[in-house]
Amino acid sequence: MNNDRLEELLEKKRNSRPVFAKTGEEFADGFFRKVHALPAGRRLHWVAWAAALFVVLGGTALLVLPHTEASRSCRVGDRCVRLKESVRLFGTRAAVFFFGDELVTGERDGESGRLNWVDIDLAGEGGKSWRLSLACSDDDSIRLDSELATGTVVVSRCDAGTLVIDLEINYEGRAIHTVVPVRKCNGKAYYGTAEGS
Amino acid sequence: MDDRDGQFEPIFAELIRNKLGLYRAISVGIVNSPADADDAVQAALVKAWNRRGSFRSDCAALSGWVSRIVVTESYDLLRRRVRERKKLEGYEPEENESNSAMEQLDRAVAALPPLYRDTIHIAVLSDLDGESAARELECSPNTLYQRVHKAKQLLKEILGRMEHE
Repeated sequence: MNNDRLEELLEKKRNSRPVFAKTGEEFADGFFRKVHALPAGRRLHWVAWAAALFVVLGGTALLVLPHTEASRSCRVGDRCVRLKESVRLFGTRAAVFFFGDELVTGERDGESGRLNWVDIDLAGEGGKSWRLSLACSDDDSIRLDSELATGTVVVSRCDAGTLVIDLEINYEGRAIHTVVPVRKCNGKAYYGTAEGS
Repeated sequence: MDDRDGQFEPIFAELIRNKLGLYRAISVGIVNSPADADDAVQAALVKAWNRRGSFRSDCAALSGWVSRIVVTESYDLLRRRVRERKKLEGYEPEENESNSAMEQLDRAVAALPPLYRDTIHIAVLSDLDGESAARELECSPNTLYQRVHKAKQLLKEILGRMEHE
């Protein structure tokens, strides 16, 4: 882009002369009619805001209360951050898992779509539980083949707020065979609980 | 309407009488539609009216302030219109070489930092002479000249990048 071309475009834009439907007087009349109507309008405005606030609060309570347990359990912040950071490091073709605080990577069958951040609390023997975190798309097939963990994980979407995670894995000699529904708790974060085997 | 409105009505009436052409020119350069431009100018004037207590009959400051609100309101309206158009199924923008160049110019101006964007709309694309534009932008003519120069440099850079994309 050179100076002449830029000046030519600016000149062309400056010279476009549209026709306005209203005269200056009509515009001024419309403006003063509007501002004279403002005080009543503004009172209505605040009433509308208050009503809208009540509706939003009521709606939020209805949506949140049934999922209170899941929301409490879904301390997604830190885990999402470390999952995202790991995905950034290893790329979206890699599957990223955390077994507790242990990072394990696997392979996906194909290109992943939009990633979800999933946390699953697995109840083990003797009341001991631990957490599995993974990054997966809505329709994912993941293969693990590392010293720590082997097996497959298949992810499918059940409905707008639920993913189903089919775990067939061995982690440190322990078999985990279970199907876990995980529910959306915050944006792309999902949470669920399951028996460990 | 409170007692002070009687004091402000003549000020706003004068503002509209003297500056409506400028505000419309600024706005139509952004929204590319006379009807939308009138809506944006009216919204800007209503905002100024709601803040009228801040001004002590300082028409020059009021006018400059309204000019800048007109730019902001016009971009807000343009964004709303673009969103609405995108929602329409099968929307296909008309394109030819000339329109495309003007659309690129519009996008490049929109991408400028606010100071230089206001400078282009108020000092370059309107019919104001240098001194009037400087008053409108509340700076000296020399400062305005430098800003115009810098704004055009930035525009060339942005348009150059767009050509290579």
